[in-house]
Amino acid sequence: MLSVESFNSYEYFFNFLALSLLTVPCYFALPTAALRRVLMTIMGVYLVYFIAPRLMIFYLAFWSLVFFIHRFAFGDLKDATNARKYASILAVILAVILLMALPLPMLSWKILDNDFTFNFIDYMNRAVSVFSVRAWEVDTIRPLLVPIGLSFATFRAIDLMVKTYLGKITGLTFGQVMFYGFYPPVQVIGPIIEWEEVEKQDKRPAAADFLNGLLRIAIGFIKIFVIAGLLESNAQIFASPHDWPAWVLWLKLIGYSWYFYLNFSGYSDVAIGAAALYGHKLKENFSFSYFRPNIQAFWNNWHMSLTRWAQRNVFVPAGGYRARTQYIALFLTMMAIALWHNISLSMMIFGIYHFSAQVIYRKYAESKPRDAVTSRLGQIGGALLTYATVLLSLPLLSHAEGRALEFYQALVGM
Amino acid sequence: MLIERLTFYKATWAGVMRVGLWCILFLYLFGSLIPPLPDAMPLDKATEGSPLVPMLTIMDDARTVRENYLPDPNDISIAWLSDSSGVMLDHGKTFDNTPDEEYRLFATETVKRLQEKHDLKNLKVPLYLRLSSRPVDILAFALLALRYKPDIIVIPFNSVWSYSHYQIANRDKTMPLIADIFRRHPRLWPMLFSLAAPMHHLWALAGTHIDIIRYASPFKGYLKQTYAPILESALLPSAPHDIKLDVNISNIPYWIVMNMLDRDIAALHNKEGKITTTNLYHQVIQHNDPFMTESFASDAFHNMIDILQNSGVPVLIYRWPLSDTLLKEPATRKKVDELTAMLDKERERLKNSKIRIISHVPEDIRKTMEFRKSDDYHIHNEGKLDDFLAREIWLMLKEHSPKLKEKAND
Repeated sequence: MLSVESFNSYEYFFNFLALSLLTVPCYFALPTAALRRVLMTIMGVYLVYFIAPRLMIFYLAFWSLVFFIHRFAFGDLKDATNARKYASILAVILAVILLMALPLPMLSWKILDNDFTFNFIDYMNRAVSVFSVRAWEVDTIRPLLVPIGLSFATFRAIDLMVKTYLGKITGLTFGQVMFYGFYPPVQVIGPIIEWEEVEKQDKRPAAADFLNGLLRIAIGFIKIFVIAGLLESNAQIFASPHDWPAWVLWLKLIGYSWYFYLNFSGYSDVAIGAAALYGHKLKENFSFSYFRPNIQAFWNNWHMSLTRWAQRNVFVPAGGYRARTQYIALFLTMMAIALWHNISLSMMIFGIYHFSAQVIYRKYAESKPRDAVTSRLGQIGGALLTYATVLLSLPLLSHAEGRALEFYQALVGM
Repeated sequence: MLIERLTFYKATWAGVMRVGLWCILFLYLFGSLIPPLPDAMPLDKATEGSPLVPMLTIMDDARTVRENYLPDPNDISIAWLSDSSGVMLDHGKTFDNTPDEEYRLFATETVKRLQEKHDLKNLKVPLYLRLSSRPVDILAFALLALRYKPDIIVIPFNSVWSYSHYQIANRDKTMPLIADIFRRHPRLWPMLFSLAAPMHHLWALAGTHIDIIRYASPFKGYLKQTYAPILESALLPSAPHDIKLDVNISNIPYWIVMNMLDRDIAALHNKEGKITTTNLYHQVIQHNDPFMTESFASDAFHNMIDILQNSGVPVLIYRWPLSDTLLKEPATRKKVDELTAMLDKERERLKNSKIRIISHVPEDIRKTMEFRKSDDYHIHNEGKLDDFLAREIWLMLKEHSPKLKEKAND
């Protein structure tokens, strides 16, 4: 039976680093910011080409659409509001249609799963053949992969569109949008960067920044290949949970939680370090997440780029800072975060679970006096409780609801 | 700054360069501490006692080629390239359930005929056999064979895959080799930079000088084999693996259904409503395009011919015969005839060169071959094909090999 093949993110980063031996000196030598952006864009396109030419074609079309919406659909809309009323209404309709087209591939993939993937591969492969027989031949020997990086690209694109609509980002050139879209360090596994993180980073890095980047990459790879590598076998518990006694399952679940964290944060370290080689200082994505004293702090320090995105684009617009609407906003935010991973019942339960945990924490925090100081023991207890709360939700993240239920039963010895 | 917090080191660009140089030095020194790896090759046991020398490693070994092969200038060297068509299995056996040492090789049988009939004692046959080799892989192996300046190179033209756009290479398994070999031929650079990823290039450039990079892939396997019994399974979950020829299963069924048949999977069914490997081969052959020149499939073949022609080494290319079951289908036959016509055109173009192309094996020879019922392509028995090819090789050696001419004069 044909199945989608797995993708090794580390191969992408090995290619990135190998190519950087050539592109970093070239980057430093180029005289203008525009030329440096072109170099990085070409690099990003080339690296995506090596994942599969079909992905390159898709993302070229995707980010071209983003540019069109940014410059014309939204750009002209604002200018036409007063002067040409009917034209502006048409522009609004056009913008909405185009805006809906942006998340459509991601939503289709999450909902239709392999059906979407196999059709995506076929149609994009045919698109490649229109441009080049040779590229088409290369595409057919590439693995049958899910649309790598689509979730990250979609959220970056939506973020850019929202900021365009709000007037915060205007007048980007085609080159700038392509640079943002194909920015190599974050292409396959994030973080979900904002345009502002790479917009002004045209200066060449200081030696300390460069060395810092290398060190960060090394730390990332140690996390991924050494520490997480040793813990990887714990992931087997989800396939056959009843093969172990309950107490072993708990230990392996703890092992898996650290594998999950180290693997994910390791790749973030590599991405942030990789960006530092080119003088770009990206925001952090993980910060000692499992050691946070409460669930709210956990979510403020776990996959922070996604949390920041959800905060900007869901929490704040939904009234998160108003007392009457804070819980609705919180619910919508947690659901957005959960369903970004996968559109499934288990992820909905995941979202509701973490929403509930945060509500409980908020109520508890509100009940405490403002100037209350938590003791050291209290902080440790809080961190353990937070970790346990997150630990219990991991089976939902890893499995469909039926399998997760089986796992929970095995955890309690049923 | 993390680096300053960890090391109290204030970085400068000179310092960065120094760090880089120290890294390279230590990588080089660590490499020299690696114990020599066993040069175990697939097919060593299957070719024991014969003049054949298996040259290719398992697919996951980035070194790709045997490192301890030293050709003797007095030997007559026949570089033999092969894919799975050159492997004969007994009835009831498949590639999956048969260990390498039970493979019977077409090359072995042909070389035996050669030695029996022409008393060639000082024969050496470096064998470049890898299952599922595709056009770009064969090109790479041909260039590899050229390095050792053989007296003749024997290359099969695969009637199914040699001009298929759907499988120009066997995924990325040959890419480190391609990155190393293709860069020496500027005409191959479009293929090189389209197929070999940057890390392959880095391996090709650095791996030849820094052992720890060259041995990284096989060394991981070596560690697993040596220490797996000692370390617990959480650390090294895989059991030690045998050195074995392996097959990198392609995604060709997907492309056949989605692309070739435009999702009409019923077209793949035989009369009994089953999908068979034979049906898959029919579709692949029927979608070959031997006269399309703007493709890597064409580039691989024609560039191989040109480079071999310029090398001056005699080359024998023979089209691997197809079974009656495959040939009796009209659409398949039509494509096979197109392939034959293309090869005939090439043969005519090369008639004054040292490259000989056998576009189709004589019918009376083909009829003696016993094709496997499971796929109607691979064989149980070569029939008289070994005699036929041995004669062709002998004729070419007699015409072009200075060593045979010296022997005749003696």
